[in-house]
Amino acid sequence: MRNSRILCCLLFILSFTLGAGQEFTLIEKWTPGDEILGRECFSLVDKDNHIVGTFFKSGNRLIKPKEVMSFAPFGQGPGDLMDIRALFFYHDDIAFVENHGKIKVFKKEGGKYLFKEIAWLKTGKYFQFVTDGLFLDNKWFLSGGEYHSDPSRVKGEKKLSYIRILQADGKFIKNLIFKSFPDSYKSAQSDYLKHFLAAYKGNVFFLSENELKVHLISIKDLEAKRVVDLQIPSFYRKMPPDFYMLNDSHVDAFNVFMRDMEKWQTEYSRIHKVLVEGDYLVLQMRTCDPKLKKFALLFYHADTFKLEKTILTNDYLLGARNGRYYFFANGDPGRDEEAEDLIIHIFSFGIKNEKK
Amino acid sequence: MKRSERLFNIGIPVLAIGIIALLIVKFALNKKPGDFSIKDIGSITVLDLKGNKVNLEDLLDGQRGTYGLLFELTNCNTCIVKGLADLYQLEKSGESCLAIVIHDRPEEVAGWSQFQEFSSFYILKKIDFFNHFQSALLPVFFKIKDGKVTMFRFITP
Repeated sequence: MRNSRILCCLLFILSFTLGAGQEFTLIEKWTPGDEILGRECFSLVDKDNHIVGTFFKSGNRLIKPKEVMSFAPFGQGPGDLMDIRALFFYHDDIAFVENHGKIKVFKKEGGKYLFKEIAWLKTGKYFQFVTDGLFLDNKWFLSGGEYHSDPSRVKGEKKLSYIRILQADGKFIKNLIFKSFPDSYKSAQSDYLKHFLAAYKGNVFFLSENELKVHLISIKDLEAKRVVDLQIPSFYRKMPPDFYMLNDSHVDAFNVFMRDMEKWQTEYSRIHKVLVEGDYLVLQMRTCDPKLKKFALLFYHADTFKLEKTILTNDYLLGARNGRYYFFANGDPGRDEEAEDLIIHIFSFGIKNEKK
Repeated sequence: MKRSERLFNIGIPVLAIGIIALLIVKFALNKKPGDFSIKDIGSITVLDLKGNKVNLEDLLDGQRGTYGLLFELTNCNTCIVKGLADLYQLEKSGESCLAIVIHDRPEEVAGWSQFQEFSSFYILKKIDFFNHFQSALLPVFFKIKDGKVTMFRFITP
């Protein structure tokens, strides 16, 4: 009994020492004096603590505290990019996935991103709708729906996989996480569905934007080990069954489909950012509750998957590094009217940084 | 009714029907829904994957004919895969086959083609495609014999 009391006291002291209960504080604010016009497609924080991202309409941008630099314009030349599917780290460089199994690597030199090389990957018979990627243990991990049966068939079961693993030289290793759909409509949904990857210890976490579920994939064995259901927050507004589906009203009216796409992406608690920071799997989603702030940051412990913190904010998460979380102030410029000016907020758990 | 009036009443409709028939023949029947043709095959040069120039005519089997697939890397992926699978099978059964990729940079095509089972890839510069080829759709699967296109089929998803 006495021992257990001592243990409780120690745990209590330890929790304060490790920062449990620390406030999520704004430690830095950037106003680089430029603007981002469209929504965030992909973003990350690089080794110099700068934000790199692809933004709809604006293109590829490197956001620094005092300036915004454009790089890799739209095109098919060596340093150009088109039809970008994903952005992730490749060693110390950044890699963009383009269509047809092509990955373009850009290296940071002199404060700018310059084209370095192309990596070609073996593609499947049917196209993979890549939405995220990782380069780990000399292997490419790409997430996104990939058909294994003819997608043009109107009737009949559709088989898809959601992870494609390849060797560093582009040779195919295997597909993982298979699902079958009884009809074509359901699988059409998979063309737009975003799937995320994040690495933690010996595992890759795989999450889909519409499900609070984590698939654990062993990096060593390249096998899906288990699926964990994440705790659902009280405000969570599940996406409707027909989200991202083409219906009769969309035929010959792409603007109607885009309007519905915006509705699906802003009126439900879809996951729009997944990252691992420290020992936490961090997800951001919309609360969709007018009484609450726009977004919620959910901190699940990456070992136990217990929801340990929920932080509500009006800022849109772009990435994190070394305990610093980088946000667009007031939301996503392509989705939230309040996010007109480009302001970056950096938050952290702990003491306020003096540098402003 | 006078004879001239009768002639006029009959002549005008006959003339009108004639003109309409002529227009139908000229603009509707004569027009093919989709077409593929190659102009001056003898003067077309392509590049191999190392960037060396090769006369297209030298790659063709004049007697038995050659099967080909013409495409751009940005065309429908499944269509390209379908066409290349057909070429691969034909090549295995002893037919003369080649794949022509419309692109201005051989190293891009060389990188892309390294994982394909089929290996006879050649590069056609875009300007040469515009000058010598007419194709309603891409990719197009075709056969050339004696310098003429004897068969073609557009591949669609």
